[in-house]
Amino acid sequence: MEFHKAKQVVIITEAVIADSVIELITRLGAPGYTLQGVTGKGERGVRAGTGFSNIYKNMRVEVIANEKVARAIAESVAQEFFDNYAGIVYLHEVEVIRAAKYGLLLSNT
Amino acid sequence: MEILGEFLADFVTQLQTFTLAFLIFGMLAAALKSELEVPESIYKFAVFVLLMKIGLSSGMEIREAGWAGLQAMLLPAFISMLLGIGIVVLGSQTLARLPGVRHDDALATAGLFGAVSASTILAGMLFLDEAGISYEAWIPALYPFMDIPALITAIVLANLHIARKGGKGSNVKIWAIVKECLRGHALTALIGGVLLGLLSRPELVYEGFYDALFRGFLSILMVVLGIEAYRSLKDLFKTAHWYVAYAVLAPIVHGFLGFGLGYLAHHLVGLSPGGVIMLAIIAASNSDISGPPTIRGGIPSANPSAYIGASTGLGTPVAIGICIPLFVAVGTMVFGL
Repeated sequence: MEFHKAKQVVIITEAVIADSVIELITRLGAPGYTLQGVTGKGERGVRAGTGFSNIYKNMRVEVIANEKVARAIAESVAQEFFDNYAGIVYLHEVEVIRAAKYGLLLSNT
Repeated sequence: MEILGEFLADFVTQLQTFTLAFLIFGMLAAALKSELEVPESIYKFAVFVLLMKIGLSSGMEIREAGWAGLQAMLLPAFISMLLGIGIVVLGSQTLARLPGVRHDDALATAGLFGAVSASTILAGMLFLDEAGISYEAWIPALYPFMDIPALITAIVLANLHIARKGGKGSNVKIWAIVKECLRGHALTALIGGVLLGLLSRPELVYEGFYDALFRGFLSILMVVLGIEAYRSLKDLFKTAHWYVAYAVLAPIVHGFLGFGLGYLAHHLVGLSPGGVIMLAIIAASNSDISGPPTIRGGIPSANPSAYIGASTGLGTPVAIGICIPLFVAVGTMVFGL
């Protein structure tokens, strides 16, 4: 079976903006995503996910895409949200099978 | 002086009712680092039962009273809207102008204090029930009329301010905020309850389940609110001290505004004395569960530690512990109950 190089974008940010983040990455061409609730600590203190109303909850969104889409997502998410919301975003090199699922055959990556 | 005596007597009564006692228990448990916790799914269920209960009783009363009942509600609903908007404008002219207070933090805080807490309303209703003071059963249905305008006013004023400062104040989509509020967990249960009470005959399930069990669910919610209050308080003291002053004084001032306008409705459309007291308590209450996410989304630059600290940390305990006995005392004096 053949493996293809692809990029994984990982966004860890506030769960309260989940809808807006999903809307943005979908618009930028994310072929799909995985979302999970997480806890941790960062610049804005411990975000333990306790308490009412999502405010102190964090989420982790993963997207696998071609390099162009992945970089666009990472840059836009940082620009759009990280002035006002806690968050980090980073890219991983990954290998996938079934390249077409991730839009890999359409670009030169 | 007479009012002080009346207030102290009502305050002691309130201390003995389970609502405040459970709230204080939650705060103490959190302060002592107890591992006690109430799972999210449980308190969400508690919120559902409570709002469905007050929705159903409102809907059934409006159905019984017919057209006259709806008419009697019009002025109080309009007054509630005025209060929601007025409280936020008042906050923008007072809290927002104090030294060391950021304008958008102040508006976010005022937005939550203009918005409404279902748990405070229920605690107030229980207090009146036990004191034998009657009120219109549709009173809690005033909730959205005060809640939504307050949140929208805060978000619009904050974004206008940011735009004026040359920042990227976004165009506020008012209809989107209204939809978000109405679709929220709490308001959906409340409005659904009103419709079910109005259109169907839920008397049996109301009596057998919602009315029978709501005290138990309220006690659970009070423990959660106490735990939350203590946690938010720690954050509050890291912000400007003015928030502490605002969180203590604002519920009392807002309550008097509500009482004054309620008194007007008493003379104009015959709102009952208990209804006037409840309107004061609703005005004194502040949002602790459903308001904060709306504010976080609408005023992203505001610091949650400030507005949640002020609202959940201090505002709710002040509303339940001080404002309920205070306005019952004021009502008892004014109406000679």
